[in-house]
Amino acid sequence: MTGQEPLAIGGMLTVAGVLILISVLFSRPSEKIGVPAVLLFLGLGLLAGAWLPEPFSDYDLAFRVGTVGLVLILFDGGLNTPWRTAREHLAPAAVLATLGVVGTAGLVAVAGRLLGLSWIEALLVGAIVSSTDAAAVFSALRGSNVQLRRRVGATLELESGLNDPMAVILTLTLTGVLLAPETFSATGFLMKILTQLAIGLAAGLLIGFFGQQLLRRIRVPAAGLYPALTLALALLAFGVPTLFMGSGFLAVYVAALVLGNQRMPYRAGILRVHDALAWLGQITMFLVLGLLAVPGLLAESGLRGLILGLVLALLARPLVVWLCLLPFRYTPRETGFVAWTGLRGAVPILLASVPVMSGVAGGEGLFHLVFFVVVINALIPGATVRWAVGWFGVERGGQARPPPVLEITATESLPVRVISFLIDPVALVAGSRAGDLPLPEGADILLLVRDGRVLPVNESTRLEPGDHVHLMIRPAQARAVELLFGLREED
Amino acid sequence: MRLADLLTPDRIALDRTVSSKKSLLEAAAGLLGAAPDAAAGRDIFHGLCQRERLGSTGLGHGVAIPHCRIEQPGASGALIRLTRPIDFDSPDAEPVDLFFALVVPSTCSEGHLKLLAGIAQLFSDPDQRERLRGLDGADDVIRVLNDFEP
Repeated sequence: MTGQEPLAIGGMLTVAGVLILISVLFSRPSEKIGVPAVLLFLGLGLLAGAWLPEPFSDYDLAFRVGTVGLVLILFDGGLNTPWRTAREHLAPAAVLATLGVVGTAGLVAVAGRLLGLSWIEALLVGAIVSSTDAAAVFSALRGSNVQLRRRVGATLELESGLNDPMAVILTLTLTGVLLAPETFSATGFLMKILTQLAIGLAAGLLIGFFGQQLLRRIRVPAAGLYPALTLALALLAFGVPTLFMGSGFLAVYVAALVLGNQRMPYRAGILRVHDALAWLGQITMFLVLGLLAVPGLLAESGLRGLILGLVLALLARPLVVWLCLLPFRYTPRETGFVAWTGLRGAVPILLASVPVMSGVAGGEGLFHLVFFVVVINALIPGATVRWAVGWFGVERGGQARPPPVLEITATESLPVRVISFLIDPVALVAGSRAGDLPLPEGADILLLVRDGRVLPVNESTRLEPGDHVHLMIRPAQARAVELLFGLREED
Repeated sequence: MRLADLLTPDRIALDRTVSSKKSLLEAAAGLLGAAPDAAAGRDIFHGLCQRERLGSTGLGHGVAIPHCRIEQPGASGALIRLTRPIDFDSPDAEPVDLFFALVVPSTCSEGHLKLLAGIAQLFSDPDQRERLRGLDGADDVIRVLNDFEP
């Protein structure tokens, strides 16, 4: 321990606390005006960086923080992807995530070359900015009571979960080529991509199923240890395949997909923790990446970055999406929406630190160029996404599920589920006596919450509009009950 | 009230063609609005749309029960079968070809709730679904409903 401790760590935690606090407090206003919250975090990092006594330029640290953040985000994304809807959109999403990534990278590279970059630099920039980030789309929609058509939402979500590994592989390989051009061979390149994806997929499935068995069989003494266990699985899912030349990012997403689609003890608690970790990952990674950027260098890359950003948003992405989705019978409007909402997020900025770390000449210039491209491609689709939903007509008729006021969670696997409804005047049961409801055998109302009071329910209790009604049902009865009660709350 | 009493042959449309959820609801409102003492078709359409907004009335397996309350003295129903199933945001994401639309008075009673539950039960039975899909005439539909005891 040096003489400066614990003052130094105290200072660091204070700064981190202030930055995270501001990020959290301002995320709602920023979403209200349609600016993705992540851009706020990035801008905050940039501002904070300008105030530091000496510029922060630790690209290695930033890369590590960014990787951890991305692992947490991808794991949370996988946990929350419902396999039933995802399955049908796997083929188009997989095409977008592989061929689409390569196509986007290629087109951006052509534009970069025209702007005066060398071919290999241009390809590197293309690869770096080629993967999308769906989290921003969904967080922009969350506040607006608009729901996306399942097909469109699922495609965007799966695409963004699956395309990061591809972008990572392309970037790492191209960086290698930049450093030692004579080692490049096209077949070797292709083989490398395929092996990484194969190992990543296998490791993800393996760890996912291993985790599934583990969670089903073991009992740990405290509820708080379950999320600790799933976190360990997330770390393993990235670490192990990475050690064996596989794609850790693909493995993390796949493992979470497997885990999230089965019964788990304390499921709600586990999901909540990972949701929080993903937010923290998001905030930290954007703050750190903002810290790295130097305003002077940003200004230098400004014009080129702006043009490349617009080429990506208005030309490369639409063309590639259109080609990729041709075989899958999407309507022109659905294709249009997927093309428009190619939001870029943390991954490109994270990847842009790779060339700098590896000591590629001009790496810092590329980093700042990418910074611009990402900001433009987060801002344009992010700020317009609500409008785009209406314009392309991809809204799913219907209200978003309201949050419940009460959560009742099973800690063991039981044959019943507790679901809740917000009684709307339109629902057939509104105004009826509880005793008059033709509920399926074994289903029953447990209680209701009215104006902040929790009431027991007996036969003569009337269900009033605005009540939150909690029922126990068997899973097979859900549809019959939903038909009567109408607006189901989130669970 | 029994399920068969909800329908008359002129409110049974077999082998219709519609292009979207909206035009299906319009067709259903048209049939229901033509019943004696019925509310205006426009109001019924509006009511059905409002109910769909709370969540799709699709049950899965290609069937759906659009319904609402409306200012009219009694309950009535309409049955529509499509030649080409349409997307109805069903939970299983399967397109829907068989619809039983239902309107009940705004003073919805226990009996009216039971009608909805009864239709749901009818549609949950794979054999009944297949029978309804294979029938040729409106009279046969009413016979199926007469035979069905929830």
